[in-house]
Amino acid sequence: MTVGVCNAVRELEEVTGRKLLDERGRLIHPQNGATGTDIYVSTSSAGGGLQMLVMGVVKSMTAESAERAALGAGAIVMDTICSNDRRLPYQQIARIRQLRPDMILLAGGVDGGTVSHVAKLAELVAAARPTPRLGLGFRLPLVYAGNRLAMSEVNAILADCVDIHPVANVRPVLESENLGPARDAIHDLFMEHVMAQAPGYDKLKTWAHIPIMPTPGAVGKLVETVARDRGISVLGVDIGGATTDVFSVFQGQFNRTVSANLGMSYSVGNVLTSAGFSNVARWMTTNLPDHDVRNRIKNKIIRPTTIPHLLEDLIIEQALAREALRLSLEQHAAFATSLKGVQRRRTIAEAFAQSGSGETLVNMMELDLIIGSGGVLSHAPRREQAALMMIDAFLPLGVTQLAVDSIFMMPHLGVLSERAPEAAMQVFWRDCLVPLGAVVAPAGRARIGRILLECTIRRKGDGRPETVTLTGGTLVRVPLGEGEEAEITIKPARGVNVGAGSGKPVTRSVTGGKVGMIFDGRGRPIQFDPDPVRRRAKLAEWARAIGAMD
Amino acid sequence: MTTYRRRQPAPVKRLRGAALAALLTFLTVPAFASDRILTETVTLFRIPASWLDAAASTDADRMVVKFDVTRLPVLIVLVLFGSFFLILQMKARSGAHLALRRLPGIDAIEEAIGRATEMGRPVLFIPGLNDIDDIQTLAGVSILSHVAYIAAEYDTPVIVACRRSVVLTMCEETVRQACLAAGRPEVFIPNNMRYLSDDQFAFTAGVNGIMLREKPASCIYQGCFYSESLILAETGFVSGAIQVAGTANISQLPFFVAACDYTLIGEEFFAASAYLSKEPSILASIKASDWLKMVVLPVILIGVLLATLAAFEPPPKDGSPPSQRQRAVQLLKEVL
Repeated sequence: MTVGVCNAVRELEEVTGRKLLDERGRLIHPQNGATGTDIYVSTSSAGGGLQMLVMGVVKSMTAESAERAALGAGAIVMDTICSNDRRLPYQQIARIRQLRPDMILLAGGVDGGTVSHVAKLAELVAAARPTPRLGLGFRLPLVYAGNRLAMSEVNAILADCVDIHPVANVRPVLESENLGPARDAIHDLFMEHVMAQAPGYDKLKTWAHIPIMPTPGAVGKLVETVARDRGISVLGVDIGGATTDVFSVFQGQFNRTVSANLGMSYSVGNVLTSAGFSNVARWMTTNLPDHDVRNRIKNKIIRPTTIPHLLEDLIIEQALAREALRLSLEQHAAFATSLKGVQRRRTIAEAFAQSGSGETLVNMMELDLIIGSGGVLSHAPRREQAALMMIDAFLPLGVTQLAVDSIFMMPHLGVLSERAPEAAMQVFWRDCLVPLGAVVAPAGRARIGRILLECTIRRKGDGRPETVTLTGGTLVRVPLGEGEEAEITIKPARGVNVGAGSGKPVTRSVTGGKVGMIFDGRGRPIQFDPDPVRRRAKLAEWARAIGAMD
Repeated sequence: MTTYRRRQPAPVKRLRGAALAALLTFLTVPAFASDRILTETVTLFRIPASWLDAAASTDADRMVVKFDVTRLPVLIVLVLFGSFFLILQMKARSGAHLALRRLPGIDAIEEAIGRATEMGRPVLFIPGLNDIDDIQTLAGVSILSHVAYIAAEYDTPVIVACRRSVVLTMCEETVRQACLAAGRPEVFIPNNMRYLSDDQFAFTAGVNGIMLREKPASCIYQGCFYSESLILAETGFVSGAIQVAGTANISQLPFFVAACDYTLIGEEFFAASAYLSKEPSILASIKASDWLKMVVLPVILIGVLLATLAAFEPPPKDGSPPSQRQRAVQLLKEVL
């Protein structure tokens, strides 16, 4: 492990001209003039990252809270076993044996609640006697974050087969969650047990000035810090080869999901299966026969690490990316919900509109910033293509800023934010993010040719207002340079909503970027022409309108 | 190839029979009991008396079969409803999806049982105060079947409190069958099926006692309730339970809406069995009544419009015949 780190640091030395390693190949600490460094931070996704099994009593209650805690700590949840998952005990036992996780998180019952259900879950683990994936000599760590009263029972059942680490209940009462202690325990155990199995880890641990974190956990930490620091709602997406991670902070609540089978290389076949061929093909601007498109995708399945060399391959890749991002967000919206099982207080006014619990927190109108990460977004040939992919996939509403991560610095900044949050934020906004600009999109369907809104743009330092008129079925791009700020006043037409309500004007400050401002009048959802020739022409027109193609 | 049809649970069958009986009663009794039948009838056909009585010899003795014209709208509604029902039932049986709008109250039942499971407490179910001959009680028992099934899956006890002994027997059997269907017969606890009292407020006091002593995490009220509704719902709220109510008693709905987490209002309560069972014939009857409403609503609107127009029409002068417009308005008013 340290060999790789040393190689990377040597490359950094060459780029910066700063000496970071001593003669013995160790990091120079602290800095002294032109040599050394003050803080070394590291994240790890070695061995496929932290893989966890989560258990809880009711799927939509304690099991979901436990899943949230595990995902928030940067783990990949291999499976969730609960009392109502409609599996028989022998099937659950077989599944635990088969999975071989790095760690188990057992939750269930509110404090003072059910003991029998938690004991039954513990018995499943005892019967399965799971062995860890890495390391033969140590017992599998189990974080117990359930009902306090059931602790003695769990201990009695599991003491001789797993290493139990009790922490505070993730759901002490059904009305609130307490995920912090479980997350911290997962981090600590990840370091002590899981990472300790990796060669060279002990050495690396002595180098790092801040505890090593799982990579996705560190990204989540940064997204959470950014949202808290600016008081905004943030959606972060990291589209990888095998998985897509989605991070969000809405109403101050952080959520992370991992779409395990949606990615651009190893999982590309699954993207096609999950989205359906017609959904992928609808984004294509070229007239390729269906069998040709399928063959190119299958070629990618066989050789997953290849990158597009032809324009047609790039168009297919970007079409797949749109669908992978769309499906990931759908899965995220289904998971990022308000708590279920909570007692409600109603008034007579709610007689005919009784909203249920478990409503999604993901509200695209409320969203302020979308951060895209991953090769297909960060290394798109044109930034405009990355912006268009994110708009097409996420369908933002109202006014939303867009940005991409330049060199996947977010995990490291996430760790750094633990020690030096101000430095982390400055690097994040100045070097890590590549701002693309802002998108303005009204909600609802748009009639072709109808005037949707008029926007007055006042650039800072330039008193002359500029007016943009957006009609249905069009995309309009207005240049607004990187770092340039402007105040926009949007006057929507009657029945059109851009955030303040139907027909109500909105005034917002926006920051420019590589693309500038994009006004999206295509409606939500985007209406495609059923005729393939006209659809392709329209797609090309939209792409040209914002400079994504010539 | 042999095909197997899923057996319907007994309460569903009874509910359907009762609903059909109620519909027939509603349509036929007023038609024959109308006091205008002798004055506003048309002759449909005449049966020669000789067909009925060999001794009759003259045509004057023929039996006259008449139709009450004032009940014509009921006939139209019956024919429309029957047609809609048959069309939709055929559609449903051929595999077409008959969508019902989401009922948060029914969806919340699983959540309420989940809450009870996490808290290690029972679920309390009350199938109303009326006896088994009340359609609301039957609808409540149908929902109980669903509640007991989910509770058995979650391994959570269900307490059923009844005011009538016959209802108790039916509830007992329903819960037992649901536990068997869920594959967990051991979850059924006979002592949790409780008859409290025939007296309204003695029953209410008994239920309140259960709420305060056994602290159920979820209270589900489905059936006919009277003035005790608020007492029950308030006690349930204070005890910290999630409450799901459903009744067709309009006067009690405001209390349930204000004090419960979810309330099934009027028709939603009867639609619940269709929503839960997804049985084609029950779904078809719900959709048929929706279609009928879509037909009736415009007719009502036209009627209101015509009645308003008629109010501005000057009265006919003495002796002069009514104008054509007046006659049309009068005829439509009669029909509507």
